[in-house]
Amino acid sequence: MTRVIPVKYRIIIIMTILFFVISGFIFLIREKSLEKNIIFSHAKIHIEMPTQAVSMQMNLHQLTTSMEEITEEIDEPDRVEVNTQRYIFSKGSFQKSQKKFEELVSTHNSRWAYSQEQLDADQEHKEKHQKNKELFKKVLEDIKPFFEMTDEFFIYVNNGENEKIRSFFREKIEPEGYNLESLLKEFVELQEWETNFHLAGLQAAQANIDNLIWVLFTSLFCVVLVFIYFLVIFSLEPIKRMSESIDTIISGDTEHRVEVRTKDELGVMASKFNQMLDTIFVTQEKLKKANLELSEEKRKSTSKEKMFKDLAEQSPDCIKVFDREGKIVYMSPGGLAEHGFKKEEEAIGWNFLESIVEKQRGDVNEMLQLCLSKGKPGSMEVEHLHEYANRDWCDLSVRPIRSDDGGIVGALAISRDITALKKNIEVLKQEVFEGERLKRAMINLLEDIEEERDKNANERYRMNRILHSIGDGVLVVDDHQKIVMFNEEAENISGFDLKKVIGKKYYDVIRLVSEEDGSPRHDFINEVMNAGEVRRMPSGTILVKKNGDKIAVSDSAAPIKNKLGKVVGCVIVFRDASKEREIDKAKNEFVSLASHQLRTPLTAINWYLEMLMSGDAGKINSEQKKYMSEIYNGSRRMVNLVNSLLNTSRIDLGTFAVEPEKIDIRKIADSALFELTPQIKTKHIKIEKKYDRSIPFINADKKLIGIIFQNLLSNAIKYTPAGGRVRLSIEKKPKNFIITVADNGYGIPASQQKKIFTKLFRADNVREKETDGTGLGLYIVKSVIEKTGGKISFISKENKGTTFKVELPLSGMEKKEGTKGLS
Amino acid sequence: MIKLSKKILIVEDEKTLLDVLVNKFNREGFSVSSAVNGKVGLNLALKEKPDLILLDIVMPVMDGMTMIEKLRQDKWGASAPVIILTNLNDADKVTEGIQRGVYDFLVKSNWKINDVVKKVKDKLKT
Repeated sequence: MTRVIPVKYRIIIIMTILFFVISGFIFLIREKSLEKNIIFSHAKIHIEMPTQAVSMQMNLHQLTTSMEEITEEIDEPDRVEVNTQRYIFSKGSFQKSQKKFEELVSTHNSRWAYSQEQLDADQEHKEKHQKNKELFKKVLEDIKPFFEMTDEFFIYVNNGENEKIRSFFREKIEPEGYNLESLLKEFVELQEWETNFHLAGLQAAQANIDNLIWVLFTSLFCVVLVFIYFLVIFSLEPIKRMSESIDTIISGDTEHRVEVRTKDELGVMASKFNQMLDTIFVTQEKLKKANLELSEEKRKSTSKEKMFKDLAEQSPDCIKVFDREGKIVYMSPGGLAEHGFKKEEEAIGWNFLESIVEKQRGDVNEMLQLCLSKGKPGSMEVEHLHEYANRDWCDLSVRPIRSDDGGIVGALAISRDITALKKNIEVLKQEVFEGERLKRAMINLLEDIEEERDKNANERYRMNRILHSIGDGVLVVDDHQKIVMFNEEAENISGFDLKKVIGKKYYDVIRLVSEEDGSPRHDFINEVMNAGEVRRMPSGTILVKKNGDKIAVSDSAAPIKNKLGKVVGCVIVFRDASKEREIDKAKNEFVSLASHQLRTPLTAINWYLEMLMSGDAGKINSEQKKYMSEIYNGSRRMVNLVNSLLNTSRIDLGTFAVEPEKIDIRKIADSALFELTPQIKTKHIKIEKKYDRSIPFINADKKLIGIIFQNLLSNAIKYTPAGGRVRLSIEKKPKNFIITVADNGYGIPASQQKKIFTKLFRADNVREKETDGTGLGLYIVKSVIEKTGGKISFISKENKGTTFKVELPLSGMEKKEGTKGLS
Repeated sequence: MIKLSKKILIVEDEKTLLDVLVNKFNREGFSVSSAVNGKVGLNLALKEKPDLILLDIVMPVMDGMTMIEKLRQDKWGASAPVIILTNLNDADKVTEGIQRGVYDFLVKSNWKINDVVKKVKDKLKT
């Protein structure tokens, strides 16, 4: 392809072709629609023709019937009248439909040619159509004479010639009418057949046209698409070629140019592009050449200068070059940094004298002027101002710069930093002085330390001796639980060596376990560290020695606090308690055995007395009974005393058991009161009871709760004069319940109130009045309450009464294994 | 009152106490046999199969706990009702007694003799 039509023409051509193609299609569609219309109108005629034929048939029938009726009823003038009218009407209708039919036939004939084609295609139709045409002609021919006869018939009717009417009808009209009617019948059938044939033709034509239109539109669409595709391809082709050429040029072939094949717009663009490339490459060549020449020139001229400049650039000194007028024309990077310039341009023309302390400015200026005018070199130490330089002191030297002919063209000034040097000298001086002073101070300090050390050593030695000589084992741990001190007795008891235990965790050395189950018992030491309070070791603790022997120990631990009150360690003191433990055991066994032995005779006394009193051994009189009940009371007291002693012993040894179960404390209170009924009745004490309804069942030891109620209530009754009042209340609080036992009795003297919980103590005032009493009850009560998590308190006033208040936790008691229960 | 006289066995080494108990229970209409230590008590129990055994703990020859242990090995004795009547008040003993299926554990000095009788009657009623 060497020549392409310009783009705008191309578009015009394609649009024109498209116009013709679309017009052609529209024309075709229009033609086909027209054809359809023709078929339609043809079919329409054929649909109407059988209707008119039927109408003709019916009217003929009506006409003949009317004439028949006239003939039959000729003697009844009224009926003839009616039938005559029907006859006239039928005749009119017949003629009307006949006329219409003729019109249809003539219209039909105007399109005969088209129909003829259809007829040629179908032999059967052709024959029937032919017959139809002939039949129609016959109908037209036959009708005329028939109407003439009817006219004649009507004349006879009007004239009343009855006989003629009858014979005329029977001989002429009836047979003729019948013939005409059967002719019409056959004609109608043919019409119907032809109509159906035309309707089928119409449907086929319709379907053909629809398909044709669809095919036409699809092909039109494809044609348009193909045109558009070629238009785009033709238009893009030159652009693509140009792009390929550019790629070739970019890849290095600078000689390559875009091929210009056409003279259209794109061709013009391509040739302009080629021109541009030519211009660019020519310019580039020129530039390259110029650059080469330039760099050669530069290389020659600067190699020497560069060497000197490099020297200046690398130097940390401040190198300045002055022109003849004394202005700075160059300053080295070292100088720029010194004077705080960011660019060399800032330093050009700067009056450097302002950076020098005022008193030296004149001297420096003079030195520089002498160098410039007479070529005299010079140097001096210069002090700088802080705001213009970051060096305090510089050694400034000035030399003249001469041209080749020897004339002075400027001056070179080099200034070197000597600040550090100057400072070092100062520091050195100062240090010599300080050293002397320090030496004196050190000597004094050493003397003090020597003295203090002697004192501390003495103190520590004394402390160590005290600690090591103590009869108990002493062990000190730091806040990391590491042993920092371990005295001789601790070594003796545990069997460990001091040197081997220092720095170890205490629980790796001192193994404290429970006597009963061998479980570790170190908790109290942790508690001391955490709470910062003194704690005692739980009873029944044993220490496992180094050789595995077990030894009963008793001990306590106390925190070591620093000045701020923070716990920094712990002192644990322990001693061999095996002897004590043995004594305790012996005592416990003794009490247990003694009480058993004491109980047996007491039981004998009680039971025999009971038998006597109940008359089992014969009748007794009232006086005897009174004496016996005194003996019985005494014996009961003895039993109570034995029980109390046993309880006390168990409390002291910590061996009493707590066995909680679900109980209703109100019931226990009631039962304690019930047991005291005899005393209450004898003394006429008024009992006031008040229990909270919401008191729940709690987990507590029945016996222990019983002991509390029994003791407090019996005390209240015992120490209240006859006719007095005792109030018992149980209240529920959120976390605990409160038992209050209040009386209006003798009270406790203020001076003795502190002692009432002590073992075997009885207040003076009651000792006089009531000899009965062991002095153990309140001790037992307080011990039981406190060991099961409760509290007891009281208020009392002599001769006014006493109120005891007991608080027990709602959570109940915790189970405590012990060897003995209380009774 | 119990109509058919119930048979009880009292094992008690303290003769004074044994006498008063035998006396009392006879009066109450029981058929009573007695033994002065665990060994005699065990033989008698297995022979006579009493309805209930009142048993002391601290006794010579064989103590009460050993006697229960042996008694429980017997087919009949395994479920024989036993009430312990002692002056020992020791949590260990109570626990041991309960483990061995005793009906009750009474501390003699704390109990009236009438109440002991009542306890026995209560047990035999059920």
